[in-house]
Amino acid sequence: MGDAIIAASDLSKSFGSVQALQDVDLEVPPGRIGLVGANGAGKTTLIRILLGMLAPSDGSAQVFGIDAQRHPLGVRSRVGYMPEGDCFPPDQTAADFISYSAELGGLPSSESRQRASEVLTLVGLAEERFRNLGEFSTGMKQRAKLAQAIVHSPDLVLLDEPASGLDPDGREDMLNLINRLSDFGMSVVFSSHVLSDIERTCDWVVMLNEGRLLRNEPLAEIQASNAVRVVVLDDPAPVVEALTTRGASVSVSDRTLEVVMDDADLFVMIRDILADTGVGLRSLGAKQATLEDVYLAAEEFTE
Amino acid sequence: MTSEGAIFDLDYRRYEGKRTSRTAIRWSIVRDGVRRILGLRRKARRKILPWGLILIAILPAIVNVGFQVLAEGLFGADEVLDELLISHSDYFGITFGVTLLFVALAAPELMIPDRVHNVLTVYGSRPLTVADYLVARVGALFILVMAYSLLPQLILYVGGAILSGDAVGHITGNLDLLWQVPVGAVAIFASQTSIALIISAFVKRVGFAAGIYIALSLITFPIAEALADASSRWFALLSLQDHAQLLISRIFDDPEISADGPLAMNHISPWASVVFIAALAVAAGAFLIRRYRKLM
Amino acid sequence: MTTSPAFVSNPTVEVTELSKWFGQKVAVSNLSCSFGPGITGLLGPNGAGKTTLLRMLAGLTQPSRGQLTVLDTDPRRDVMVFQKVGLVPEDDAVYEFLTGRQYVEYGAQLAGVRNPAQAATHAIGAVGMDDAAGRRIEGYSKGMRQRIKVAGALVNDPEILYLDEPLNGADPLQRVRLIELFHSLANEGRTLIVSSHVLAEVEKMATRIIAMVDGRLAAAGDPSAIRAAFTDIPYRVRIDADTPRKLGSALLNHSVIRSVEVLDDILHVQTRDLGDLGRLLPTLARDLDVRLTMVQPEDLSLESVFRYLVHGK
Repeated sequence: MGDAIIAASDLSKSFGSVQALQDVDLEVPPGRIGLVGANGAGKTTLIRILLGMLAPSDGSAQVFGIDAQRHPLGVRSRVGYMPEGDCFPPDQTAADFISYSAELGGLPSSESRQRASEVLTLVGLAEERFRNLGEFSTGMKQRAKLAQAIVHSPDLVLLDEPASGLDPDGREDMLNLINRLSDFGMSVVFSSHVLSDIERTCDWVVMLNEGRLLRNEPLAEIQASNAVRVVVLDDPAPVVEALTTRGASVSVSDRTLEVVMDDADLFVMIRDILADTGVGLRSLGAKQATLEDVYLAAEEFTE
Repeated sequence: MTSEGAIFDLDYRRYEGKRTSRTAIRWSIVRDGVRRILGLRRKARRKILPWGLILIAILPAIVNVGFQVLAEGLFGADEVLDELLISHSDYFGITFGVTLLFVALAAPELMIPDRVHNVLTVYGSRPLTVADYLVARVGALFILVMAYSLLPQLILYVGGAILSGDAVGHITGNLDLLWQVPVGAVAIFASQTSIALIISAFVKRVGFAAGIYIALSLITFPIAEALADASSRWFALLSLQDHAQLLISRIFDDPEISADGPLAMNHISPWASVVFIAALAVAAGAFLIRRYRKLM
Repeated sequence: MTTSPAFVSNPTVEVTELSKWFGQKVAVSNLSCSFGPGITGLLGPNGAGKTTLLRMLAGLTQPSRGQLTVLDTDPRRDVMVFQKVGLVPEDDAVYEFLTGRQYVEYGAQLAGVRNPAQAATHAIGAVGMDDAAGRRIEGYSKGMRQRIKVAGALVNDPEILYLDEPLNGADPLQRVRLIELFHSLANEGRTLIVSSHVLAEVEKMATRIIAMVDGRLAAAGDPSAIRAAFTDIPYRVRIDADTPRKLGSALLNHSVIRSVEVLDDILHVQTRDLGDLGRLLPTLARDLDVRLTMVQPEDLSLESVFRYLVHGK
């Protein structure tokens, strides 16, 4: 892969007898990457190795072609990190600390104040930016953490459960913001247990299980299936019969049908059958395997 | 003439400019440390202790200088001593207590919140090393302890020049002071901060750490004396706060300053003291790096 | 007989004009609704009063005004009714130095359970923490803490269970297992009230929701029925077709279509009646020889319903 932003080769890490990562080989292109795995599957270990905070036991990892173990500072000057837990001094104002964070990231002080202000406005903390971080609610802290991660204009941002603790509106805002980060020229690694969030924002998925790499591919490929899913408004029986007569294989659950047939244009066929039978259409589309289904199948395989 | 209009995207701007050097980042951390200790950009009550201590540190000097200059003005230069009542070496004895208090509070305030509130994660994700962080933090402490020690000395120096009436003469006649005072201040810093930093590296509350440090400073005195009496005289080295006195004594060649301390009583040479302090500093440094490597 | 969806026919928990204020701040305002067996989702923005309501229902806070009935009992007369209630709070209300098993057994003892060790084992097994129960809680991950808290709430075999963000920190497999557990508990006839911000998951758990905004009851009942109740907000449907504009302009001829929009070659229509559109679409597409590859209602999800509740349009 020519422009892989993250690459790992035979990457392994053990803590005593616990094997946190094992022989991980991957290359990830720019974009929005979802990082998925059980607690203890190695996600945090991988992130820490990529940031150069942890040395691998074996193998290597590169970010933007820079070896994370040998040149951690080189990596960190281009990466931002939004940790899951608290990370703020309670007695500093948001503007003050975010500006300081910018300086720590290599920005001159002449720029840092202005950028802190802009970034705090972007995440929706414009009015609260002169208040002490200790007074912030969970939602506000999450936004401030994101501000801290992007203020120094990184090329890659690592987000660990960014929507945690936010109410539905806040989650919506945060997920939309994450989507926009790529418009701003940043790649994103989004680590989360809420698979529906990942499906909504990411275009590539890295799945870890017990330290091993399970999947590393575009989301579209994971979701791809050759079935067409139809949900009808009335009794599906006539539709099912018409489909099976034509040689399609159909599985039915209540009013949901999953139809598979080789060498046929199922969309046209289904349209016509619905028109003929007069059965109402609720929804239609290529079946998409949910990330959850894929994840569970993988988990059970290894359990 | 055509009319033109444009909207400008007020969204996120990428920064394409030059990145600062690691040195600049270190200085940023130093400045943040200084602000944190002095309570700058924070609530007013955070400023009370540090600035109060500064005041206490310089007050005797101001009072001394002011009093004598005033007396000179009232009674004429002949009636008043043309030397200050409090000498530079004597003043270290005063400053010494203030810096002890200051270090007791400043070292924990500098080190503990970052750890307890997990701010180290932010530092850990930035292009700086553990050593950068620690050196910068200790640097902030150094700057302030030096300021506490040197500011009153400066006032005394200037006051002395005014009293003597002959600035140039004052300078040339007191050339030794120019090395004695800074070295004395460094001696105080070196002897007081190592233990404070070690304590701050694993205690979780600022007040607690300050308390332990002060208690330790007080207790080691009688304990060192007792142990030195009971067995080897080298136990006197344990009296942490006496080292500064001994070194000031040696620097200013005034044995009276440290005469009644355990070190002098046990005939410990100032060079042994220097070695001990240096070893302590190295140990503190190694300990801090090891501890912080695990956290960052 | 009440027919409002805010009330159920076989309630185990009832609140009538319930209010709670803290000084000037009114956290819960004049709430009247009931809960029964099954899983009810409790939704609302931050500060809507959900946690305050749960705390009142669990007996941790006294209402400022109004009536609360738990299992046909007024808790102010008979505090013991709360032994039949379990609460899984959002915050980390656990003892770090205890092992998981000790924590659950301790809870069992406090609740006066007859055989604490056995009850604890059962509860721990139910949440899948058998292997980790012997370890100290301070070493637990967030998801493990969550599960041991659920075990702690289950140990007295409660009839009513309040769960505040119960899936917080759980990984995808643990989430699925916990949801399965909640379903089986509900099927046993228990009353579960789950408060969560992850609406996509509330959809999987709850068949009925109670939504609060600013301390007041904003909506109640079945999510699709609530959506239908927004009669002035037409349904939005996405249609992917090979010739979207041809289909779009044909659709405009039908009165059931309120508006048609083409964005990046994808059709978005607004309609007052999903059923009418659903019956119209296949025939129309066939007549026009338009190939449909996707038809998807866009605002039926709980997230969309919630957005309409809080923000109007």
